[in-house]
Amino acid sequence: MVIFASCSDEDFNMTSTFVNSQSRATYTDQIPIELSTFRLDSVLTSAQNVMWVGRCEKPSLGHVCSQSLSRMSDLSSYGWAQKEKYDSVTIVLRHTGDYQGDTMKAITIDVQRLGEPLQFAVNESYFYNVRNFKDSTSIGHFSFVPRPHSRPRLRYRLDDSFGEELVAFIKEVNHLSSDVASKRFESIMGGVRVTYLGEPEALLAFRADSMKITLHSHIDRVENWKISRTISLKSTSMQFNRIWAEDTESPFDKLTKRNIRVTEQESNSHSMMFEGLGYYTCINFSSLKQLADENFFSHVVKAMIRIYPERDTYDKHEIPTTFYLTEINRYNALGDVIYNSSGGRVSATLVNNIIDEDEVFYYADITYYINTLLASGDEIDEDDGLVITWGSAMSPINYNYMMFNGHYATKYKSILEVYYYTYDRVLR
Amino acid sequence: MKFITIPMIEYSAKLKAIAASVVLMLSLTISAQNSTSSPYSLYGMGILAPKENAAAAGMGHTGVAMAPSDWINVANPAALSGLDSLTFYFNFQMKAFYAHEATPSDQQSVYSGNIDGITMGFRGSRWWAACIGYAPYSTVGYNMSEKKNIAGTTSWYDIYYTGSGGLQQAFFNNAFTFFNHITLGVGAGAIWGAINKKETADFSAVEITTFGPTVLLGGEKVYNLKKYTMNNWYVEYGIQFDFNIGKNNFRFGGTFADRTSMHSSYDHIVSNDISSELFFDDVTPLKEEFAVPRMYSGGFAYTRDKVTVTADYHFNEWSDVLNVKFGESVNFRDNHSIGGGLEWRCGKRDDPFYKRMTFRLGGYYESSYIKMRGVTLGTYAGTVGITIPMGRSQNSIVIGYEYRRRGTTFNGLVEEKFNNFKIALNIHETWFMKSKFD
Repeated sequence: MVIFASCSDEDFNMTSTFVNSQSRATYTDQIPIELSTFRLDSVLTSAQNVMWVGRCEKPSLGHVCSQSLSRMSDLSSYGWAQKEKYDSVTIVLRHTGDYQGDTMKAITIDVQRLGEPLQFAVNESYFYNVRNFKDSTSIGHFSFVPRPHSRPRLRYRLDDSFGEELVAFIKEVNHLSSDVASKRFESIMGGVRVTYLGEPEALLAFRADSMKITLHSHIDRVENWKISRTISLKSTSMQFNRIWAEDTESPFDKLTKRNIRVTEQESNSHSMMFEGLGYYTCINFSSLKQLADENFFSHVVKAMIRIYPERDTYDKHEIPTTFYLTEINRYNALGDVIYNSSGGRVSATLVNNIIDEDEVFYYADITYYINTLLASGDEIDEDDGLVITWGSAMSPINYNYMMFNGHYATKYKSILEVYYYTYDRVLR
Repeated sequence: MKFITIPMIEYSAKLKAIAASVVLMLSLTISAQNSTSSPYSLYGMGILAPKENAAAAGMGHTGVAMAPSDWINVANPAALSGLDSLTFYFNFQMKAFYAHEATPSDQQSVYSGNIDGITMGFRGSRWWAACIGYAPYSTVGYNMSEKKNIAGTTSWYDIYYTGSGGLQQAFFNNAFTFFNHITLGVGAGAIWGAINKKETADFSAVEITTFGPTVLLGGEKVYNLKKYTMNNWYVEYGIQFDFNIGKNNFRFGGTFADRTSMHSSYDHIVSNDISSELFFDDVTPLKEEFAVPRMYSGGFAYTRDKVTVTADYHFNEWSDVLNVKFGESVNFRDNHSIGGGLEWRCGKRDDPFYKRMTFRLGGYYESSYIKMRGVTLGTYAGTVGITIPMGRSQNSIVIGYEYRRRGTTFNGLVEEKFNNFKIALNIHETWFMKSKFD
């Protein structure tokens, strides 16, 4: 049996002579989107090994302040020798080199101990609210002048009164078992708060796992017999930054509850991104529901979102080069990061317009997300949206701050760019 | 005692072999329907395929007034009167083509092939002969592309139009002969099939210049498929009569088939590489959406000795049919065609096969049922054919060749030059012969 296979050199380029197809492709950037700001966490934010300490000024927020709270480990050893003499107590911190504000002025760091152990109310994967941390007492302070991008290891002496208190405690529990001693240790060292004194103009970042408090002693009349007992960070997951804004009358003050959003219309066509304070930018696509309802009869072949950061809120040389998008519902509860059709996480890429140097924006392909929304038709919740996060997960590892231009900004407005293919539906 | 008989077990095996071949061919036909390549097949039901034997194809597609004894003429239900009463006829036919298509600015070559028909016929009595068969009714096959602008940009995307499928027909023709010279025919059959029209919008190579440098948009492909499925029964009538003047035989014939509306359905499926069903809609169109037109034909054949001259005229009332035109700027109009042929039979039955060949020659003109851009599409064809006997049997191989030109490059249309080949295997088996004892 011979069956001929059809074959042709190529497709016939007939332009539109023969085919009068009603299908068409269209580009639009006129589909309204809306940027808004909400506050995901209002008290303390897990810092994941970064201690932010200090204070600096930010547009729309006034002064932003931060201090670090950490749960500490037990003393590395107990037992006090008969001829052992106390020498000093010191703290070691390692500056990461990250900073915000003016680093040319001295900053005074104050180290405090918490009277009771930090208690956590864990209600989410990444965010922790601490409602009951107690007043603390200073155990020492020191000043230094940071230098941009330097990573000095800082070692300062703390108050001897604290050291002597530690010695007294060790002697007191000398006859107790280590378990009991450890338990009682928490009563005098529930945690450490590293904060600032005065009105500094800079925020500095330290590696949390580098923080170490050391009790130094020696055996009397025995040369070079020095003894060190250390207190370290218990876990990087037990270190938090408390960040707050002061002296502000911004539209974002109304964000006292998690389910509130400040629309870009309420905030001068801007939204805010400040992970340290828990401020996040939400992008809504409320007009898509209308499109779906109106029998769109189209398929989106490409949907790109273009988000413009406000020029004055970032340093062009240090602006993050990417961000991720995470789903959020009307109650500002977070979902998963969004994926493309290949299963990869959608990330936005920073683009610098080579023609207009002032035009800097993030560009993300959200085709799959938009088509999924449109496919859900009537089930689209207009208040669902996407949240911008710097990390691939909701883990605010840095003190990042940025304002974004909204869709209704006069220049460099954030837009949704859609290429859609409309198919003819009628029989003839 | 002189004994002449046919071992029945042998014929039973042959019959089974033939039946198996038919089933196999039909199944293959269904899976390999793309037997044309023409942008003009975009419209209506596609390019109409004449229901004919390869022998008729070599004679300018004539045959309305022929009643051959050595092949099954399906051009007229009444054309079976010439079949031999002791012979079972089987015809298996294939078609192949090589085409060159051109516009003022573009051209392409294409070739393909497919089964063109299967027919079995016999004479049941002095006054009745019949045949059953399968043949394509129309074929759709085209590949076209263009670039379209993305509205609101200066970017372009590729769009590909492909068509496939077509309609098939199965028929049962009966010829009833009265007074030796008048034959009435009636054919009943079914037409069915599906036409797929697919539009692929490819955005993967789209370049955009939204923010300075040209970058690849990297969009997806969207497939927009429209599938038209249709079927119905139809009836065709035919007549032939002949008379002799001396050694000259004159035969006239005619056929008629009324307009037949098709039961049809329509599926519209939009998909992409991720989802097989972005959109699905199925609509059963009105019965008037698709129809086979009313058809008339008349023919004449003159035979003297070894020479036969034929002429046919066909008229199809397409203007009365509201077939779906897919929104194209095309009008249907009545379709006329005329053809003429000449056949020369050599030798005698006892001659070697190379002296018993039959040669054919013909010409053909058709004004298409499609009128585009004010141009009525014309088709001109020249045909030749040959019948090659197989050994001393009556079996033969029939070859018909046609050079066909269709369309024009005027007004942005396409001119097509086809080299069409039809090859048929005619098997004659002596059946119905009774044993005779002396």
